[in-house]
Amino acid sequence: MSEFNDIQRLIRLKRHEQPPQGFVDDFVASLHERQRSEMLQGSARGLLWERVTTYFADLLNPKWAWAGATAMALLMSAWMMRPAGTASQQVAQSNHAATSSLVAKEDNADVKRNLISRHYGGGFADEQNVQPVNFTQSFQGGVQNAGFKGDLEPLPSP
Amino acid sequence: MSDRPNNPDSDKDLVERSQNGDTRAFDDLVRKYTPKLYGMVYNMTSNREDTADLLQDVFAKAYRSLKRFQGKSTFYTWIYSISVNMTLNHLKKRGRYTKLSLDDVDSGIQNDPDFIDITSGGNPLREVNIHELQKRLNEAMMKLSEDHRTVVTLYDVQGLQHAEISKILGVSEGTVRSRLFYAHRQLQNFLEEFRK
Repeated sequence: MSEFNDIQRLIRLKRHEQPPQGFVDDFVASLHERQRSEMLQGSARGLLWERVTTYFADLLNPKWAWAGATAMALLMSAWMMRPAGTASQQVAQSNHAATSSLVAKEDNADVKRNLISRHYGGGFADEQNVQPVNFTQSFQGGVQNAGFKGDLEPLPSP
Repeated sequence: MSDRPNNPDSDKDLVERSQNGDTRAFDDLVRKYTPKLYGMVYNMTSNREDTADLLQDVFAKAYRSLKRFQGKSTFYTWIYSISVNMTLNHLKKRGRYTKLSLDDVDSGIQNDPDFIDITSGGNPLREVNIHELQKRLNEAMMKLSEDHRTVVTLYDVQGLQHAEISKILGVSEGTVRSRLFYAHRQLQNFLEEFRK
């Protein structure tokens, strides 16, 4: 760093530059005047704004940023780890509320007309005309059928 | 030569009294730090009027914020940080070009060994006028970037240590040393004719 010695010695000469004589006393007096003036003439809005900006200027430092991030993380964790039943109930309630408002209500007559039980005669549609099979008559030994339709029909006589 | 306060404990007492509403204690702090901060702000702005206005803003803000000063750093570091930040904000708003105004140079410069050496026989600029030298130094300082000017002011002019500057600026000591190195190299070019 010796190459910079000359430069440093030159720059250090600037410490001989001084404020004018009596500057400090005048400065303190004008600071008092300014403070009184701010107190008396400053608008309420201006004073409020000044206080708010000063407060947040000190607030927005890394310590508060970390605290805020930690609080957010805790809130998120609590929300994600709450009991599952609570969540499903809430979802079901909200779904019911949403769908019930969209689907038109049916009266009882419509419900009766469309009930499946009124049209159901047992079995599937293509089984309704098949005669019941008498197992004791048709079974002639061998492996018992598995119960499919083809198995249940009597074998054609040779 | 360092401008650091000799007794930081006295600051603590003055700060506590100020926080308890003793306005005279705050006045004592203002009187104590105005010359030091004036030097710092003036060397960054090179303008006397701007310096006085900025110092008013600095102490007004310090007074409003004093209740929340918790003493984690020294008052000295705290008030310097406020001054540096407000000065840098001011310089950003003001822009690059401004009228430079020179401060008075005290008579002590005539006895300063560095000044005697610069104006002695071996130097081609031995006939240099003090005010001309002052003007050239200020112009060279203003050619530096704001960050570089800040570290040169705090280290070379104000005599603070790297660790103190690092706390005031909120950067690492390595960054302070690096900025000083590049600032000195630039100043070397700007002030070539003053070097032997």
